[in-house]
Amino acid sequence: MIFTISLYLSLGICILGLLYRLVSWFTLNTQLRGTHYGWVDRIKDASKAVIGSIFSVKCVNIIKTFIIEVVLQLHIIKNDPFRWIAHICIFLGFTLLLFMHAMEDIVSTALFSGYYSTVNPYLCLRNIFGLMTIVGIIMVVGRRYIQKKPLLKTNSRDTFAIVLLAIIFISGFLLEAVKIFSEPVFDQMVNDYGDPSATEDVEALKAYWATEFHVVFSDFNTSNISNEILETGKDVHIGSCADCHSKPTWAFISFPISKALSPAAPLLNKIRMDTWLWYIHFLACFIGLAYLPFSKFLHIVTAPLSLLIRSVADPKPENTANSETRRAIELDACTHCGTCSLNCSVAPVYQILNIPEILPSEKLSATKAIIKNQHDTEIINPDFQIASYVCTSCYRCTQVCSSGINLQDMWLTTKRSLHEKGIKDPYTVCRTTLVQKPDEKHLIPIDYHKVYRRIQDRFAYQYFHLTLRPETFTYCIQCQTCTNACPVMASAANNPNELLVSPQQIMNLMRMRLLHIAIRSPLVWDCLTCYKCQECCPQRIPITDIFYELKQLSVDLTFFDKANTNRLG
Amino acid sequence: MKYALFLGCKIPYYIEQYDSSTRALFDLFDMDWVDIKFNCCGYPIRNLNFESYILSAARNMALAERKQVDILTPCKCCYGSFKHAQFYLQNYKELKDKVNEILKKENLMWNNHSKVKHILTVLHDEIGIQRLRTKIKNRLKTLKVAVHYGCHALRPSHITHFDNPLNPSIFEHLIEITEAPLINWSKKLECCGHPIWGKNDKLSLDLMQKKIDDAIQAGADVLCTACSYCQIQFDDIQIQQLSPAQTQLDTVLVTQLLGLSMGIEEMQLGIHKNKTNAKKIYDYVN
Repeated sequence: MIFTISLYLSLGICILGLLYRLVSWFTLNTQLRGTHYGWVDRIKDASKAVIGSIFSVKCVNIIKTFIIEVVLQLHIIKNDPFRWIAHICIFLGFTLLLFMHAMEDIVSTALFSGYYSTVNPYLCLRNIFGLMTIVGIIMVVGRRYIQKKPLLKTNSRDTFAIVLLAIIFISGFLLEAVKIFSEPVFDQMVNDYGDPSATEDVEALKAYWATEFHVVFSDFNTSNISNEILETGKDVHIGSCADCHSKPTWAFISFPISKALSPAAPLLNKIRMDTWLWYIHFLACFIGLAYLPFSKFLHIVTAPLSLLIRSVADPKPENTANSETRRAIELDACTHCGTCSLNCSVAPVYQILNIPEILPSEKLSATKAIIKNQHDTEIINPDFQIASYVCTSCYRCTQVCSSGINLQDMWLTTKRSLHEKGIKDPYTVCRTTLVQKPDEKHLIPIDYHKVYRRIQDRFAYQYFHLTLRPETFTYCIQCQTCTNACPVMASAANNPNELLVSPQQIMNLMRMRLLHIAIRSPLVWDCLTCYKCQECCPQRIPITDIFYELKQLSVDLTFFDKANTNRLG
Repeated sequence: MKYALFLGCKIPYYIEQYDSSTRALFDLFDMDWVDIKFNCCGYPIRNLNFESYILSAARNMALAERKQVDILTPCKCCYGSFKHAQFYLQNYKELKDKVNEILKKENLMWNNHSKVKHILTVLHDEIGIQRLRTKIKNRLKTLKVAVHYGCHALRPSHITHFDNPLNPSIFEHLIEITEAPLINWSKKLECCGHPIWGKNDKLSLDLMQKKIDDAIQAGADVLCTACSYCQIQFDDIQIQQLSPAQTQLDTVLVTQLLGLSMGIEEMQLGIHKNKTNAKKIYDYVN
C-alpha cells in the first residue's frame, strides 16, 4: 500500500517536474535582459533544427556522440581518468540495477523467462552491479571530501545526491543480508509456497535451510541435526524451493554482511529488520525519483541532450532562438563535477581574491540563480560582476565540460548583457567614479593612513610602495621626455577638447604627495602600458609601473575593501 | 629542441590559426612540444590586482619547471607578463616566499629554473636564419611587409631582454628570408591600441588608424604581427569597427607568412581564418 502510493506519488512529482523543466527550456530568458525570443519561435526553430539534424549527414555525429560520449563517456578520460572510472562504475551499476532489479517486473521478467531475483546469475549480478556503484560512490567521496582540491567546490546539493545514493545502495545490501537469515521471511515463504501444516517437512526444511542457506531460527539448534533430517529437508527443498533459490553465498557482498550480523539475527528477526530496511530502501529510491527533476540527478536527461546538441551545433553560435533554448537546457545540464573549475585559466585569481564566482562551476550556479530571479539587477552582486570580467574567455572550460555545455557562449552572453545593463567591468567603474565624475559626491576618499595600513596587510605591500615611496619618483627632473614619448598624449594633442595631465605632471603630483589627485588623471586610466615613457626616462623612473599601481590601488579600494559600502561605484 | 607552448587565453578561441601554424612551422625543425595545462599569464588581471597577476604568471612557470622545460609563447603580452613577474619574484624575496607558499598546495615551486622565450627569439636565435633558409620553397618577392613589433616584448628592455628597444631587427631578419621587401615606417614601434580596447575605444581605434595610415603611406601590402593582441586588434577589430571600404591593411601572422614560404599547407596555416583579406598573399607567391 505504502509502496504503491509512494511510487505513484513520486512518479507523478517526477513527471510534473520534468514537464516544468521542459517548459522552462523554451520560455526561460537566458539573456539577462529584456528582449529575448518567445516560446513559439523557440519551439519552431528547435523542431526545425532537430529534424534538420536527424535527416542529414549530421545524424552520423549524433550516433557517434551517443556511443562515445553518452554511453562510454570517453571524453571524460582525457581530463580525469579517476573521475571516469568513478562515474562509469556508478553509471553502469546504477543503470543495470535500475532495469534488472528496480524495474524487474517490466524488464527482466519480460526478457528472461527464468527470471527470479533470488537465482543465479541475477543474484550474483545484482551484487556485482551494487559493488560497482558502491566503489564509484567511495571514489566520489574520496575525490570530494578526502582529497579536497582547493578549486573543487562541493555544495549541499552534491552532498545530498551522494548521501541519497549511498543510502539506497547500503540499505539494499543490508536488506539482502538481513533477508538471508530472516526467520519471518522463511515462514512467510513456507506459507505462500508450501504446506505449513506438514510439520515434519517444515522442520526438515528448516534444518536444511539453517545449515545450507544460513537462516537463523530462534528455536532451532543446528548442532544436533541428523543426516536423515537433512536428507528429508533436501528433498523438500528440491521439490518446493530449489527452482527459485541459489545459494546465498553467491550474493558475495550481502552474504559476508549477513554472517557478520548473524549474532544479532534473533533480535533483528524479531523486530522485522527486513521490513524496515525495505521501507528505507524503496522510500530512498522514490525520494530520488521525485527529487530527480530538481536535483543534479537531472543530468541523466540533460547531459546526454547537451552532448548531442553540441555534436551538431555551431561552436561559435550567433544569438538565435536556438542558442537561447540551448543555454536554458545547459543551465540544467551542469552536474557540478568541477572539471571546469579545476581547469580554469583564471583560477589563481580566485586563490587571491577568494571570490567563488570566478570559478566557472560556481559562476554557472550564480548565473542560473540570476536568470531564475528574472534578472533582478539587485541580485547581481559585485562579486558576480568582478568574476564575469575577470574571465578571459579562454574557452578552456567549454573544451573540458563533461556535459558538453557551451560555457564560452554563456559567459560572452552574460558579459554582453551586464554591459548593456550598465554593470561595467571594475576598470571602467573605477575610471568612471574617479575621472568622469570628479565631484565630491563620487570621490573615493583616499586616506593615506588607511592606505598604508591596508598595504601593510597585503603580501604585495612592497610594490604598492612604488607609489608611496618617495625615492621612486623624487628624482624626476621634469624633462618631459615621457610626455613626448607617450602615444596617448600625442593622440590627445590633436583634440583640443581633451586636455590631459601629462605623465611628467603626474610624477610631479606624486612628488607633492597628491596621490589622490594623481589617481584621478585620465592618463592613468588611458595608459596603454606600452612602456615608452619608462624606456625613455633618463632618470629610470618606473612611470608605467606607477600607473599600474595607481589602478590596482583604486580597484582595491573600490571593490576589494569589504568595508567600502560603495562597491558598485 | 624541447619547449612547452604557452598559447595564452586568446589563441584557442579567437585565433586558433596561430596555434596550428606555430605547431606546423616548428614541426619542420623537429620541435618536441611538451603539453602542459597552463593558466592565464596574468596580463589581463594586472590592471586590477597585483598578487593575482604574479601568482598566475608564477604558477605557469612553476608548472614548466616541474616538467623541466622552457616556455615558448607566441604572444608578446604573455611574454612581457612573464618577464615582469620574473623580475619581481627575483628581486623581492618576500613576494617569492608568499607565492611559493600558495603554490606549495599543488606541490609546485617557482625557482626561476624555466626560461620564457618569445617565438621570434626562438626562430631567430635557436633555429637560426641559416637553417630557416634551407626550408624556403616559395618566395614572396613583391609582397611589401610592414612588421609590427608590439610593445610588451620590447619594453622595458632591462626587464624583457628581447631586442634593442629603439632599433629592433630580429623580426626583419626573419621576414627577409622570404625575400619579401620590408617597408620602413615611422610608427613601427608604437602600440597597436588593444590594451585600452573596451576601456576607451575611441582612443584605441585612433591609435590603430594612425598606424594603418602610416603603414599604407609607406607602401605596405600587409601587416605582419607576432602577438595575439596585436593580431586581434588589426584583424578582428579593424573589420568590426571600420567599414569594409575603410579596411585598408590586411594582417597576417608571422607563422603564417613564414609557413607559406616554407610550403606548409593552408589547412594548418589557416590564412582563410584571418578576418582581413590575408588570402591575397597567395597571389604574391612566385
